[in-house]
Amino acid sequence: MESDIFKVFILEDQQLDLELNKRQVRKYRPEVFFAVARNRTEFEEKLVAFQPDLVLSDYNLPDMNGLEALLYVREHLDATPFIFITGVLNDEEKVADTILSGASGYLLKENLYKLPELLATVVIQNSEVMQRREREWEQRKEQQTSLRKAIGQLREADFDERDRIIADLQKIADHLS
Amino acid sequence: MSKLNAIADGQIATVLANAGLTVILMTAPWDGNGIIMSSILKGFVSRYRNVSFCVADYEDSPRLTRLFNLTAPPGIIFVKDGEMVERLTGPVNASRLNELLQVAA
Repeated sequence: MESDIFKVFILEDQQLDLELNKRQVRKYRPEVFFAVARNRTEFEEKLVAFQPDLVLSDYNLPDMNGLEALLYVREHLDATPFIFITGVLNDEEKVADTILSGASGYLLKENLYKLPELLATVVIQNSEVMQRREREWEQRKEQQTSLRKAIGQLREADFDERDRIIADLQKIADHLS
Repeated sequence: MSKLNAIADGQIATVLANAGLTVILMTAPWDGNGIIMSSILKGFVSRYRNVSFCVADYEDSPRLTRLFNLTAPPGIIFVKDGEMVERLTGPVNASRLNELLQVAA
């Protein structure tokens, strides 16, 4: 977490539960930046753009379930830590399935006060993954910034075929974003 | 035309603690689209007095760029009560920005 700010994505459709989740996360780390989704559409629109350090997800949502959310995270954000917070995941077999499917942990809503402790454990367990993601992000940023900067500098220059070269580079830059 | 508040990495905590809407443009001197978007945002300052309009230098603010996941400028981020409300990358026109401000402000 190069920015030192903890970035947490919360998938939760109940406003009260959302606020309770936020409060517990702030107990673990006061400087936190949230993104929130209340349904599948918001989840898929915001998740990758936000690039969270960690995802907290309710299990039962109106148009998707937590396992679908977990699989989406694994597909698009690699090994980003994922924690279920739910009122119904109390069947031992279901819990085992959930963990085996790649969740970093789960918490019953009635035990929400334990979230800061769980976050501390999960962050330590996943520190290597999080550091790797930081390095990859820095590389991407460096490449894209260099390209955009070169395009900006080319606009100031004057030579034959300048506009065509800029258009070609711009196409590549837009594709990378 | 009103000015945008210049911010940098040192103001992150203040931005996240603001319960109201903060709109942050991240741009650079070589970012043509960002220069245009800066003018557009300045035009909104007097219309949306309850919104804090800010600008940050993309290259001088590495923590902000990481926080907002911006791998190239320009980017506009709406933040409210520590939450990302909207994130826009690349050029955005004035009418689109106005629509989003009406919803978020």
